Amino acid sequence: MAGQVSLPIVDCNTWVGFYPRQAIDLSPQVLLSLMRRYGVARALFVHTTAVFYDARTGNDLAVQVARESGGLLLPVATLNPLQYRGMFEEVERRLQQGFRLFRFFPHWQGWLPKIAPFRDLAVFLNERSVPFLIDCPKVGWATEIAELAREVQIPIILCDVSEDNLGEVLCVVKSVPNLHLETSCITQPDGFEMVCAEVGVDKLVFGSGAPLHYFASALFPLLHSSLSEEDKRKILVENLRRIVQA
Amino acid sequence: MPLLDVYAELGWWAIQSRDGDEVAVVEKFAERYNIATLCVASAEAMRGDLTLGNKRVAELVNQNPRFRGYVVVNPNHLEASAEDMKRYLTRSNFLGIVLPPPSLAHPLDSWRTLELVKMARRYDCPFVAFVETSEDAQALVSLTKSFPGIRFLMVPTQGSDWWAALKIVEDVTNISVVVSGLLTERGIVEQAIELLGERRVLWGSAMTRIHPTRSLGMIQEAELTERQRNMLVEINARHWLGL
Repeated sequence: MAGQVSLPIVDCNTWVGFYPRQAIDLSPQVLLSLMRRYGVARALFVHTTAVFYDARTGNDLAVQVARESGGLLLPVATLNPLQYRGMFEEVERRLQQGFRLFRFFPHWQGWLPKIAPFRDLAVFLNERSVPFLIDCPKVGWATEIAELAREVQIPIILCDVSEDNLGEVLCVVKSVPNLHLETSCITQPDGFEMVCAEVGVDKLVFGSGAPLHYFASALFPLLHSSLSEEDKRKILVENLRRIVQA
Repeated sequence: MPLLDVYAELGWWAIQSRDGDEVAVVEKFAERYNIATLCVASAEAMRGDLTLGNKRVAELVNQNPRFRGYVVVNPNHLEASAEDMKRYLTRSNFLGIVLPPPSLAHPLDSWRTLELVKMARRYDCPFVAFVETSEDAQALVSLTKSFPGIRFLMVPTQGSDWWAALKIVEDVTNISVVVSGLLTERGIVEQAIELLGERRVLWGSAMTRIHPTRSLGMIQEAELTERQRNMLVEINARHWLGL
């Protein structure tokens, strides 16, 4: 089985912090050691404190972790739209600090993608040309997010898609130009080939969920697929770069 | 070292799998990843036609010595399950019984499941049991208390509180745990060995639902000794499945 790979990798789905739901070590040291092992150049991470406790505190911690990593770990800001008050100020503050991406976690925080505060937030990010990732594990959510995506121009990346709703996700990613798919849900080499054939390779962005999940479990199905080196490179690094630079 | 896969499925589950000859796909993977023996159950028997699914597995294991079969049983169809157990479990190329996931059938400590296990006692073979929640693990422990002589292979699935499940079965020596691509949270391999000991942890690919690289990647990445890795992918399976 492959270890370190020759292709450059940027991972858009990683975690740092204390994980309240299981005793899994999500320290920056573990993430950095996985990155060295598999040749990951950069990892975009969210701080668990921002997701499970308080966004501002967690986003501050993310800045600190990123600084200490010497630029290897790139922070992704998050917010809970249910808290609403001060939401737009928090976005502005993070943009001034240099955050280039946001990520949202409706399933962990108990809200739905169709709620009004999230719609307002998406419009606000759109006005500032800031793309975002959003976790989408439930049936019906991709359809709701697609309706929102049609109203904005910024790229939106669907993360944490499950086996149950992958078909729905493919349907919307195929038809809505600014929707993209993070790859940790694709468990088969054949799956990569099928998804590329359905929605186009430019729509896929590599993510592992590490260190919450074994990194190799996300990487090896892609490496063992019959996609060309050029397509793999797009998924592993170039598509994300294009999204962030846009 | 040739691998021994304690749990694979014949059939298609996911939209990621292409249509076609699933046996050919599984054989191709077996060659590529040096899997000498695959223990297979029928996905069709689990979710669709019990009898037809088990029959297909029987045909496969008759034709191909690389495969060993599990009989899938269905607590909603006790008589049909009993017939299939009688039909297949006396054959040397069948080695155990698969209980369907509780979400598809009944809790592991339900009256129906208990009846099934009672019927199966005479065959002296192991059971595969899926654990989707820690309550399922608790139910499995209750079940094993009624049947201390029967071996159970517990398969935790994605979304389950696997650490609690491991703690719940830690001291129940007739339960082993199967680490597979069905649950990829980091630490499950190492924690399973730490809590249950290196002899009670087995590897299953969960093909064709999941590609084998998912679980082989986990095992490669896990912090294990070579001895532990070898026991996980081959030696322990021989003991637990009586091969």
